[in-house]
Order: sequence, then structure tokens, then C-alpha cells
Amino acid sequence: MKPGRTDRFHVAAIAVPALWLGLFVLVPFAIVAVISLARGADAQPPFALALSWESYRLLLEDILYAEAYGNALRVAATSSVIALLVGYPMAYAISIAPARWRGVLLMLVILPFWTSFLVRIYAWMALLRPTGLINAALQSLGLVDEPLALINNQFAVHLGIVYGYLPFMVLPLYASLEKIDRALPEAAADLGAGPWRVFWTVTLPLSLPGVLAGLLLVFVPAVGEFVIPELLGGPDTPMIGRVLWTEFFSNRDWPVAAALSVSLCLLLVVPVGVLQHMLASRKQGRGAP
Amino acid sequence: MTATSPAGALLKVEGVSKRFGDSPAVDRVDLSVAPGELFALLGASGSGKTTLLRLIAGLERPDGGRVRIDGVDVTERPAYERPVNTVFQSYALFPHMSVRSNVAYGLKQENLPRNEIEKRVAEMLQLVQMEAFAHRRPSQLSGGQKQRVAIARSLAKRPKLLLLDEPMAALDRRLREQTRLELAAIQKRLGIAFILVTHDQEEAMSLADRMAVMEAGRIVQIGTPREIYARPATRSVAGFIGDTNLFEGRAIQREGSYLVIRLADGDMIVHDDAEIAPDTAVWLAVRPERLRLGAMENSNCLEVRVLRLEYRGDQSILHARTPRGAPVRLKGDNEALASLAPGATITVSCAPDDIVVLGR
Repeated sequence: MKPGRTDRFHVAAIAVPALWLGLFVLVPFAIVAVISLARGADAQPPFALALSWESYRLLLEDILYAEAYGNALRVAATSSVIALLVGYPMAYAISIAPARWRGVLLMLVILPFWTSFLVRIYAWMALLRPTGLINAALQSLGLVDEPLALINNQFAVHLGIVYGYLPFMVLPLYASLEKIDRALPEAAADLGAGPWRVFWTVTLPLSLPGVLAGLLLVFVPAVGEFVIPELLGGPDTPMIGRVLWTEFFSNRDWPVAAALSVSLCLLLVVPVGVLQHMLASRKQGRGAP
Repeated sequence: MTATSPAGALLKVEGVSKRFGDSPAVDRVDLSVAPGELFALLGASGSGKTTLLRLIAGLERPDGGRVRIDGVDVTERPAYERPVNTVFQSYALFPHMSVRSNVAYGLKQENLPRNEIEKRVAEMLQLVQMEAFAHRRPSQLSGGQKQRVAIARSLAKRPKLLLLDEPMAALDRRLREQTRLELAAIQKRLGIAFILVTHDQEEAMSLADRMAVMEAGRIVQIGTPREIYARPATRSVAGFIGDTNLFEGRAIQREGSYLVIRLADGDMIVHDDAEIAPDTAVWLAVRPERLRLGAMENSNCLEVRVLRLEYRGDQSILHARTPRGAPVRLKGDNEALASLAPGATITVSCAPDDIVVLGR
């Protein structure tokens, strides 16, 4: 092939995703960034272009926003860890299952995606509410007198996030567990390590890239999650996604809402960047000939 | 075929079987290995030799039979409770650990004091001449270096028996021959019994004190390399260990310890102490280097037509055919064979003692 044609092909191959990302990520983000610097106004849309840090100052001054960020980070962090604890045994079991079963088991993990996310969260509401299936069953069995508070609290938010994002944990974990050479745990056992030692010293360290990827894939979307805290959460612990919604739709304060989403973005880019760097440096340490 | 059992065997495998699904991978195998012995398990791929090794290591559980190590029945014990160590075919070095930590891994499982571990690791790295690479990761080593680390790691716990699964398979030819000698030197120096699984008959013959030939999950012959080469028990062993000429025939008459065999191309007299009755179908096996050019006294003669000459450097191989079409190969000096032109008819001969009679 002539060099000219290869070059043109390369340019075209890169241009398509670049155009897509530019149009649907960078441009919208730029618009949001511009709005975040604007002033609120009685207009349609409700802002006037300016170069003002007013909205950001408000975010720093009003403790409500910091709390909402804190809540979101905390809930997302605990949920990702719970998802890891639930997802790891699942991924491990799939990775050691007979080859002909693995595809089926993976399909079962992905199966919930065939139903709308919103519908599945509504289903949880039906299960968890005071008159829901779980409380009705417990009461009719005489196990509890009063309905348990299963919904509109932190418990329900964690449950919803773990439930909703579990496949994002299981899939990368499976991918890295499946890649581990079967001879490695065997070699460890051969050298005298019992099953637990084999797990802690060989299997777990070698699956760390999957652990990090899974944590990232659950943590990042969970921080900005709106539907789950809105439908399953209570009023006591606002998460940043709900605050953003309120600012935008109820208060119609577009600059503050924009400033919130810009700072949320920056807040996530930093930890994600650190994790990516860790993953890359691990790979480099191993990749050398 | 039963194994000869040296007194005070280190390893005894008694009637061990293992099936995978419908196919028997290892089928009622008996085997014993003496302390300090270098024992080779030789067989084609799929003959069950690696499965047998894994059964001894405890990485597979047998469906039947017993495994005893040092007189102790270890059949029910998992791998991590058996006093044997393994060198895996892929070496299975832990990629997230340095060379030093790989070698120390087994010792750490024994909860030895730290300075003892360090001392033993240093010893092992010196044994395989890898001291300079102690801090490297396995990915930064060549194939030969990885193999050395794998050997050091498996020897660090000072096992009485070391299992090696095709340890040379991943090395190129030159390195393989050099490593073979080093491995034998290490084995003799430490006095540890080795069981070496290989499909390379040359490797087995040059290294082993004794060897077993496996076929379809069974051991078809056990003996010293010399015994097996000189007196293969079956046609397949004769074909697998070195090159051999095979002739189909029928025993027609016995005269003392001599047997007259009728081949398509004439009669042959062979020396045979086995109880082969007249009128039995047999195969005769003759090594190419045992065939001589020309007619010899007290020898069997065959008329053959020269097909071609294969130059092998140190020697040449003559490819020929009998009048009835049986292929014949003769190995000899380059000078002696050089004058033979394709198409010529010549006489070759072999002594009755150089022919092995094999049952059907």
C-alpha cells in the first residue's frame, strides 16, 4: 500500500471517534463551562453571559454543596467496595467454571441490562416499601410486627447502586481472573501454599488490574448517580446528582448547576487519572522483555 | 508389564488410574523410583505422562490406586502437603514477584526464619548461576533464565523428589543440550531423585538412569535406556526409541535358543530366549546401525535395491527396499556408503543376536 493511502486511512480512522467525542463531549462541556461563568438572569435561557466566578464562590461558601459532594463520594466509595466484595466471588466462580458454562454465566450477569434501568429501580421500590413484598412477607410470617424501614434511606441507596452497577464490577474482574495462567496457583500449591495463601499471594495480586478497573467503573457513575438516590434515597443525605437536578430544574439557577457539574467532573478526573497511572505503570513493569 | 521395585523405593505408584470424561488418561500404572534416581517418563503427547506426573504431585486426584512417597500413603493429600516439588512446563514463575521472591516462595510457606530463607535463596540462585538477576521480574528474563529460576524455586525446599514436566520443551536446540548436562550435574550433586517427563527420546536416553515408555495411559516398558534400546518390548517402543527396521513374518521352527522366521523376502534365523512357539506371527526389529554391508558369516542376508543416500554429517543412512517392498535403512560410515549408486542391488546382513523378535 502506498504511504499516502495508509496515512489517509489512519486520519479517517482517528477522525470519526475524534469528531464524535468533540461534538458530544467537548462542545457540550465547553458550553457548560461557559454557562458556569455566566450570571443568573430573568431571561430565556435564564443566564447572561459574563466572566464571573460568582457561582463557584457560592459552591465554596454554602456548606450544603460540600456536604452533597462528601455524601456522594462516601456512598459511591462504600458501594464500590460492597460491589467488589459481592462481585469478586462471582467473577472467580465464573472463571473456574467449566469452559462450556462460562458463556452462560456471563450472559446471566449481563441479562438485567435487557430491562430498562429505571424499571428495575421501580421494581426495587415495590420490593422495599413499607407495604412492599419483603415487608408483607416478613409480617405475614410473624417475623416482624412493624414494617422495616427498607427504603428512603442510605441502605436502599447502597443496595440500588450495588445492584445496578454489579455487572461493571464482575466483567473486568472476570477478564483479569480468566487471564491468570492456571499453572500459577498450581505452582503455589506445589510449593506448599494452602488454598487461602494461594489466593492472597497469587490470585488476588494478579487480579488487581481487574479490581481497580471494577472499582473505577462502579465508583465514577455512582458519584453522579441521580435516579437511585432520587427513587430509593431519603431526604437526609442529599447526593450531588440530586442537588444538581434541583439547582437546574427547580431553582432554575443554570450557572450554579453548571459550576456544580464542572467541579464534579474535575473532582473525578483527578482520582481516575491517578488510578489510570497506577494501572499503566503496573503494565509497564510487566511488559518489558 | 510390572515395574521392577528397587528395595526402599522413594516413590511407589500402585495401580493408579485417572479418567477425563470417557477417556482413560492414566490406566492402572505401577511404578517405583529409588532415592537419587533420575527417572524419565517418555511418551508421545497424549500418552498420559504429564497426567501421571500431576497425580504424583497431587495436582490431580486419582480415580483408583495409591501413591506412596517415602513409605507414606499420600494419595489423599493435596499438593501443598506433599514432599515433592515440580518444575512446570511453562515454568509458572509468579509474574508479580522478583526472581528472589519466586525462589523464596516455598520457604516462606514453611515459616522459616528470615535469615535462613535468605541463605537458602542465595544458595539456590548460586546453584543455577542467577545471583545477578535476583531483583529482575520474570518478564525481564530469557527462556533459559526462566528455566533456571523455576529449577531453583522447586529445589529450594530440598524435596526428596523433583518432578520436571518437559523442562526443555521451551528452549532452542543448542540451549537444550547444554541445559541437559547442567541438569544432570545438579541432580547428581544434590542426590535428589528426578522424574523427568519428556517426549524427546534422545533427552530421556542421555539423562535417565531408568525410563518408562508410556502409551495410551499405560506403561509399556520400564528399564534402563540401554535395555529399552537393545530389547524394545513392543513394535511401538521399537519405533519410538530411535530408528528401527521392522519386518513382518512368522516363526516356523525352533532350534534350541534359535528361531527360524519366514519373511516375505526369505527366512531369517534369530536368537531368542522368549517362549515364542512355532507358527506365531511376529515382527522382527533391526536397528539401522546393526545392518552390515555385504554378506557375513553366520548372518542373515537380504538382497536390497538402493533408493537413495542420506548424508547426516557424522554418518550416512542408506535407504533401500527388499524385492517384496519392505523398506530398509542402514546406518554406516560416509566412506563405505558413498560408492553406492541408486538402483544398484546389494546384499546386507545382520547377526541373529542383533534382531529383536516382537509379538504382534
